[in-house]
Amino acid sequence: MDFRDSPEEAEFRADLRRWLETNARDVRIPDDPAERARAQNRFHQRLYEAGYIALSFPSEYGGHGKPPTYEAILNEELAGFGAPPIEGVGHMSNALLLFGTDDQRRTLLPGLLSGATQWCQGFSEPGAGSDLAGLTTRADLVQVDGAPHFRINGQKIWTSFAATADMCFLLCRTEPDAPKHQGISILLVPMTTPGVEPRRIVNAARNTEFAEVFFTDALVPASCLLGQRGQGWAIANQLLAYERGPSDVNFIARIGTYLQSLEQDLASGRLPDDDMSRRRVGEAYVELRALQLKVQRSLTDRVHGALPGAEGSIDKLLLTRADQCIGHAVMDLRGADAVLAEDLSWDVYVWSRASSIYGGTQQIQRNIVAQRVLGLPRH
Amino acid sequence: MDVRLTDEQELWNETVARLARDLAMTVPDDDAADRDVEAGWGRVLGLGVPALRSPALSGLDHTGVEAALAAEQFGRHLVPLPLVGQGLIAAEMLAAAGADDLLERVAAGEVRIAPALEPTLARVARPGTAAIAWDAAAATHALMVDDTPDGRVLVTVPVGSERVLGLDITRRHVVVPAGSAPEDVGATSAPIPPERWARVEALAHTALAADLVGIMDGALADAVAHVTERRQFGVPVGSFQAVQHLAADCLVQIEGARSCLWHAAWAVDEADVAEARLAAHTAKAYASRAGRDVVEMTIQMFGGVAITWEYLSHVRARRVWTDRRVLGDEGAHYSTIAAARLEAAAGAGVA
Repeated sequence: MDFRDSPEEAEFRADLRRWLETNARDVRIPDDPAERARAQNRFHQRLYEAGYIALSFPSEYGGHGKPPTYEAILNEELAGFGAPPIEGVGHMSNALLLFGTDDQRRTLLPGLLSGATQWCQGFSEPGAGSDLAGLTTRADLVQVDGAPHFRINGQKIWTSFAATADMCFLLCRTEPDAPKHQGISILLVPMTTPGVEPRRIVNAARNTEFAEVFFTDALVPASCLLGQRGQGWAIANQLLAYERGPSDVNFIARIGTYLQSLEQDLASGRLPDDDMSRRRVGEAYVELRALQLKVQRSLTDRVHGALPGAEGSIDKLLLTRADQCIGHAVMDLRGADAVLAEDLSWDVYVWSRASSIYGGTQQIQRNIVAQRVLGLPRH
Repeated sequence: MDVRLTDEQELWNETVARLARDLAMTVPDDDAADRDVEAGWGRVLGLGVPALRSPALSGLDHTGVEAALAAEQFGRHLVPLPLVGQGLIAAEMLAAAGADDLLERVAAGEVRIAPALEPTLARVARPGTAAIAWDAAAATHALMVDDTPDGRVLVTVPVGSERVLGLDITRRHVVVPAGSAPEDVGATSAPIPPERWARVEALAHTALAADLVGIMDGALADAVAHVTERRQFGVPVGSFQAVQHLAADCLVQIEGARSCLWHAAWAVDEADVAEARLAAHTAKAYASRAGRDVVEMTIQMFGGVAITWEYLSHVRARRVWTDRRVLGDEGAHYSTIAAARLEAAAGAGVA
């Protein structure tokens, strides 16, 4: 067992620290949600240009071909530095890498990884949340001008960044007569396609990053299919397993940044420094470390060839614990300020509640852990 | 970075697990801690445990992970033997002081030394004060620590005969009366420098965290077996989501605790002192909180039988509550962690 950096890892970490010191010291996290999303994208692109995104991705598709443990180093350093959040692209890029044609990988991966092309994920529907496989958005294979196309009709919801996205990673039903899990496919749909209409949803923190997306006879070439027809459920599960390995979606860095900000406010006297407050930040630190260290174990397993599977739900559930612990600490420690004004604290809190809902609810994750990891019988 | 057990560590883990299964408490037994130590302690010595932390005696460096694995297996099987107190914590103190001659006699079973804790159980006791010799089955002496300008100096006192009938029926405690006269059995060697003492504390927190992880893991395994067997409404109760979610939450917290534990066990010897301390506080804090929550959830999974004497659930709860208290529960460690982190934050703010 060795938690220490190898010489190469240590050099990478030192370089990254220097880069952050030079390039991210003055980057602030804006309070305004729209500005924050833009700042996040800008910071992501700068990190990409500096060579810190897609670290464990093959180099021929814009990655750096390093072992997955480098992703943990990136997350730790971003968290330790208090850097702004970056785009979570690891899960979609891994799905594209695993299931895309060579042409799809070459044309789509560089933009996804760099942040130049913004993607959204069309998964949930009003009638298909936890029962995702019950989705009813249809894509029918039709001939248009002698070429095969998919004609898409239906509605998606909770589609983050849909209103500003360039591309949609769309889960839809192409085989209506097949059993429900086997009739699903994935289409990679340009958001500019006629008949694709996003409508923003205002969230509980007045943030408009969520949207619904309506598809009305939207036509895309059949080459937009990812993998095989009917393979969508398997691909979606693989993608969700990556999403649940929180290293791939940069949530760890976000929690670390909020914790650091609380610690600095206590240390500088901006917040009253008493034993109760100290216990709360100590608790948040411990929950965050448990998550980080578990992810290091998961990434080590990935270095040695394991694809993320049901165990990823354990990481996601640890993420939820840490996120909700910091969410409560931020609201409580900021005391009256947190309720006499509406600022980033409320946004942090609202997202911490979302963390037991998005990417598969806490209850779905617990089903997965109980049935597929612990082997308890299904009812 | 390679966060896996090495092949040697896997082998050690299997060896310790086999012994722990042999020595397990399988039904609640008030007398086991006194009775089993007669035959059982020799087998623990055969494992090489009290000598493990002394490179001169064991021939091994960096044995924090091995120490944690041993404690975890003994916790999992509720072994009623003083591995954590005598075999790891007291032995680590002796190793830190360079008292290898005495440690050799401990490893041979000639002397049995338990750590003396303050009556609050929060820290190691100072000479002259009243103390509890903790995990002291068959102990001949208790180990106290005098804080001198040159570092910490170990002091041994003979244990008295007044027993403490604590909650934890897998361990024995003995009163050390105030003013007990020291009896030199060879422990009073060189003072332990502050940095080395910090690693002693880190090893002690880690050993207790490991015991807690083992208890949790054993509790969940038993509870999962129970809800797979036990039927209500014509089906196993483990097929109900309400029960499955308790089990899943247990596993999540166990894996969180184990992750912190591995880091702490590695850091004891391999990381700089500040990181080793922080890792150990983190592991003890997480395991203390999770230990209580997980054992309570497994009690719920068992239902009424968990409240009876004959099931092991209460033995686990007794040991968890004791482990939590010894050398500080999560609240104490959260405060210590925050103090270290805020000091660093204040330093960064000035710079």
